[in-house]
Amino acid sequence: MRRVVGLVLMTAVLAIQSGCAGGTAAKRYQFPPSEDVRARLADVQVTAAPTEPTFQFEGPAKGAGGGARRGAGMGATGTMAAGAAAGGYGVLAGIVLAPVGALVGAIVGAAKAAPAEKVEQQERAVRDALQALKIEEGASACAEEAMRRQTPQTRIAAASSETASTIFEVAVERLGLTGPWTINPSLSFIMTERARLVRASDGAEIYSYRTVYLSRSRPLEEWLAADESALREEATRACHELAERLVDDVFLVYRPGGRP
Amino acid sequence: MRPMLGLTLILLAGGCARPYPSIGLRPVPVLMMGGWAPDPILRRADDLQPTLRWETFPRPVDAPAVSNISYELRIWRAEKNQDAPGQGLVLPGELVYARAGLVEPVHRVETPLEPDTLYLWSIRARFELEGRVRVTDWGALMFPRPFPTWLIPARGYYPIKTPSGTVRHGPAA
Repeated sequence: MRRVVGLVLMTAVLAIQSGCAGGTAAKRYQFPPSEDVRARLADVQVTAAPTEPTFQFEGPAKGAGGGARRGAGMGATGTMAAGAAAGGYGVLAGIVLAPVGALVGAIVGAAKAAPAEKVEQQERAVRDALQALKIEEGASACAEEAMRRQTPQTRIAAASSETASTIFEVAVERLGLTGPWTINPSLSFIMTERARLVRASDGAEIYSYRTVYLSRSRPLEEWLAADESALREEATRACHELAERLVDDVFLVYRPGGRP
Repeated sequence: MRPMLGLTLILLAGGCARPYPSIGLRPVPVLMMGGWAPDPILRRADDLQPTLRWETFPRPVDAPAVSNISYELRIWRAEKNQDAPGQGLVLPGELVYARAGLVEPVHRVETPLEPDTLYLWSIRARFELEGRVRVTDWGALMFPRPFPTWLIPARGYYPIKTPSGTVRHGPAA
């Protein structure tokens, strides 16, 4: 018995020690350009990529059918998770009872979900509000403003200039609202930007960087209230904060030896 | 059996006594894992104008040939991020305080913060490397979840809670 207890304790020590040693951040960041690349950047021209952003909407379940599907998924996974947490025979019970959880979840989901027409109308309102903002055009303006403010050492070529040696191309790849796969989730404003440094002489890509703005979550109704004012304010904030980060990471941040 | 239990507890405590994973400069004293406080990351300010301290730059790991070093400090009001599992429980909201050109790794907030309010703060170094301006990452914890540094607003800035009541000029936080 003592041997068993001792073995369990030592296993716990090893497990916790290895857990504490985790948290490696190395895969969670992108490398900035090398100092050699940066040294060759002169007369940088900021441009908007000629692409339309993809609209993203991961909102509430649409109608009783959509609610039932999500409710079934939540019910099944919730039952199995509860069983796994209990351990031992609970794992088996969780698997056996998963269909019951799915059935209950489907009934609740179908009852709670908003009508499909209403959600589709809200989705159209979000899409129209974001399209009207023309964020893809504003993103390059935000980036140029950030460059002037943050990197006075970099020469910025005029948009019409043909003397630029490097193009700093900014693209809004995706934007919209996103949330967890539940019946009526709170949603976050999401905007993905990609920046590229391109050699003007031959169009070769020197460096590429992608960053994502993900706001705090709010109910969909809050995003749409007062003529979508919250949506517009968040988009403006995202434009400036993404630009600041892009300029920081592409032109300024120094990580000795790759260490953050 | 008792020596085994004692050894186990010592190893458990000792094994976790290391700094929280982070990027950029860290507050001083450095936050260590393995403490017994209910919320070891949260710092409670003694004053509505707390004194914030952080690591000196350059650190041993940084390039030695840096010059014109200064620090930038930002404080945001924290916003709760409910119903967003895995995305950070609080996020930086309104930027309420910003200073640049600080020459020492310590700063007393010059204007009182709101009482009984959760704020997030961060610092970074600005310096010259071979004549070119460079900065460190904004300091942030990569804990409890190592959020990607390219996610904005950044998760993991350092939380500080102001005391309730009126302004009181007390000792450093």
